[in-house]
Amino acid sequence: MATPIIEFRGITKDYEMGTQIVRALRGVDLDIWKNEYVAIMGPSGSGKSTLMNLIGCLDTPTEGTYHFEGESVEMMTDDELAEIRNQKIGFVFQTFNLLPRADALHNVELPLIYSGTTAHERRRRALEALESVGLADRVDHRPNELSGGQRQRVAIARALVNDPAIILADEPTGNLDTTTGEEIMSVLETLYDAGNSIILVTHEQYIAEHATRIVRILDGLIGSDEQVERRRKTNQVTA
Amino acid sequence: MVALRFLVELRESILAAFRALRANLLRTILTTLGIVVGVTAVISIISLIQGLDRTFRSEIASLGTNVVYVNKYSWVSMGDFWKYRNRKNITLKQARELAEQVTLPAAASSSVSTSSTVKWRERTARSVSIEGHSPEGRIVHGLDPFTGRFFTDVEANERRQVVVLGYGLWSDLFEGRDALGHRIRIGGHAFTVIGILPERGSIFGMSQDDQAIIPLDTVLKLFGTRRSIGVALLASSADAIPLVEDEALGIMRRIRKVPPGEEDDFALNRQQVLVDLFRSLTIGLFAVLVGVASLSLLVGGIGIMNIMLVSVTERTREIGIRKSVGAKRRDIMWQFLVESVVVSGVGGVIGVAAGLGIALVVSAATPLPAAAPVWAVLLGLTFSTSVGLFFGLYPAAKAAGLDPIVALRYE
Repeated sequence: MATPIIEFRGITKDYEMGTQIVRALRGVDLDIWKNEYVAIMGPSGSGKSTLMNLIGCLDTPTEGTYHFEGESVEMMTDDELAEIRNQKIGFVFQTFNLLPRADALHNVELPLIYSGTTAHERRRRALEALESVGLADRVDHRPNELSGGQRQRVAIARALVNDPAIILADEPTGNLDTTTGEEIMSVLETLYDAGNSIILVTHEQYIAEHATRIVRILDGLIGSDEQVERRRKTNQVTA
Repeated sequence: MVALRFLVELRESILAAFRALRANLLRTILTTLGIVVGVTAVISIISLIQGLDRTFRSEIASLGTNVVYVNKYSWVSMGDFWKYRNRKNITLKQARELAEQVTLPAAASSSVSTSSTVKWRERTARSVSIEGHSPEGRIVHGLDPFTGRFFTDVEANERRQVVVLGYGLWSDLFEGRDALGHRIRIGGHAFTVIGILPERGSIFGMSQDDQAIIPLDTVLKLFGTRRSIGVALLASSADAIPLVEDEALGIMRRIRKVPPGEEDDFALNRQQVLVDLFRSLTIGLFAVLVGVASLSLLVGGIGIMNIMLVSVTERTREIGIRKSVGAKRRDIMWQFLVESVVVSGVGGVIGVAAGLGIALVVSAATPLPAAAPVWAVLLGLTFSTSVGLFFGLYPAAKAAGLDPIVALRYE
C-alpha cells in the first residue's frame, strides 16, 4: 500500500486554560491516503477543531508522531510549518477568511506571494483557479461585493492555487444557506473527481455523507472510521 | 530562490502599505504630523542658517581675510563699555610710527572717516561717508578704480584735494556720465575727481559704494577730526597673520606707552574674529535646531508606534489568514515594518517639501538667500525613515509573534 499523506500515531494535544491543563486529543491514530474524501465528524468540544489544526500544521502535537507525505512534522520549526501550509495545504474556513480590502484576484494570489511567484505568473495561476470555480467574471470584486457562496468559492480557489496535497475544509457550509451549501459541496465534488484529496470537518451528518469515509471523534478519541455506503453526490453545478 | 521571494514580497508590501495609507488618509496624516514638523523644522532652519552664512560671508568679504586692523576699540562687544570710554584716540603720529616700524606686513595704511555733504552742479548728496586713506590704502584695501586712478604719495603728502568716488556716489551724482577731471564740492571744498571704484557691496548694512575717498592728510587739514585713526596691516599670507599681530601688538604698546602687565589700550581686529562670533551664534541656532528636531521626531516616532499597534490589533484576523496560507514570522514582520517606514518616509518627503517651500518664501520675500543644501534633504529623509524603522519594530514583532489559530478566531 502507498504511503499515506497523513499518518498520525499516538497524537495527544494539551492546552493550558489558566492553571488547568485540558487534554483535547488523547492518543489519536489516523491514516489518510491520496485522493480520499474524508469527513471528520464530532460534536462541539470533541477535539475535531484541534485535530484539524494539527493536520493543517497550524499547531504541533504535545505527544505522538505526525508524518506528512512521509516527513516527520511534530519537530518542525515555525518556518518549516509555514512552508508546508503554503505548498501542501489548502484551507477553506467556515467564515471564509478573505482579506476584506483586496479583490478576489488578490486574495487568491496570496499564497503565491509567499512562495515568491512573480506578478505575471501569479496573475495567470490565480485567474486559472478562479475560472475553475466559476468566478472568472468576478475577479475584481471585493469580498463585500460578493455573495456568501461566491466568497467561499474564492476561498476554495485560494486553497487550490498552489496545487496542494490536501484541501482542508472546516465547516465550509456553516455560514451558507442550504442551496448555496449544496453548490459548494458540488464544487468540492468536482475537485475530488479531479484527483484532489479532501478532508472535511463538520458536525452535520448530512454534510459528512458527501464524503467517501467518515471518521467520528468524541472526547479526544476516534470513535469510528467507516466507508460511507450511500454517498450524497450532488449535481455538478458550476454557476 | 530566496532573493526573488524577498523582492516579490517587498514590492507587494510597499504596494499594500500605500493602499493601507490611502484607506485611512486622515489617520495617516495625523500619525506623520510629528515627523512632518520635525523634518520641516530641520530643513527650514538649515536653509536659514545657510542663507545667514552666505550673507555674512559676502558682507565681510570686503574686509579682506589677511588684514589686521589696529583700532581704538574691538569690533566685538567688550562688555563693560564704561571701562573703555576713556581710551585715547590713536593719533596720526602714532599711526605713522606703527606703519613705519612694522616689518612683517606686505603693506600698511592708515585711515579715518568723517561725514559731509557732496555736491556736483545742482546735485547734492548728504551725509556721505568721507574716508581718508593713506596711499597704501589702495593695496591694503584693494581700492582699484575701474576708471582713473588712486591718489599718489605726492598728492597725499601735499594734501591735494583729489577724490576717488565710490560707485554708488558716482551713479547718484553723475548718473553714469564721465566724471574724471570734474570738480565736486565736499563740505564746501573743491575736489577733483581722479578715479571711480567698482561696486563693492556693503558691510553690515553700511554701503561701501556711497563713499568718497580722499587722502588722509587732506581730511585732517580740511575737517580736523575727533575720531581715532585706524591702521590696516596686510599680512602676506593667512599663516603670517598671528606673527603680524604679535609684532604690531608689541610696537603699538611701546608707541602708546602701555606699562607691562597692563591691558592694551587699543585693539587688534580681523575678519576671523567676526567669523568666530558668527560661528558661535549659528552654533546656538543649531542647538535649537537639534532640540526641536529631536523632540518632534520622538513625538512622531511614538505616534507611529502607537498607530502601528492599533493597526496590528485591527488586522489580527488578517495576520492569521496570511499565516494560514504560509506567511512566516519574518514575512509578517517585514509587512508591518515596510508599512511604518512608508508612513514615516511619506512624512519625511512632505516635511522636506514644506521646508524647501519655506526656504523659497524666505528668499523671495527677504534679502536672506535661504536655500537647503542636498545633505540637509538627505538628512531629513534618512531621519524620518529611521524613525519609522525604529519605532515600527515593536509593533511588527508583536504582529509576527501572533498565534495563527488565536488570530483567526479574533473578531
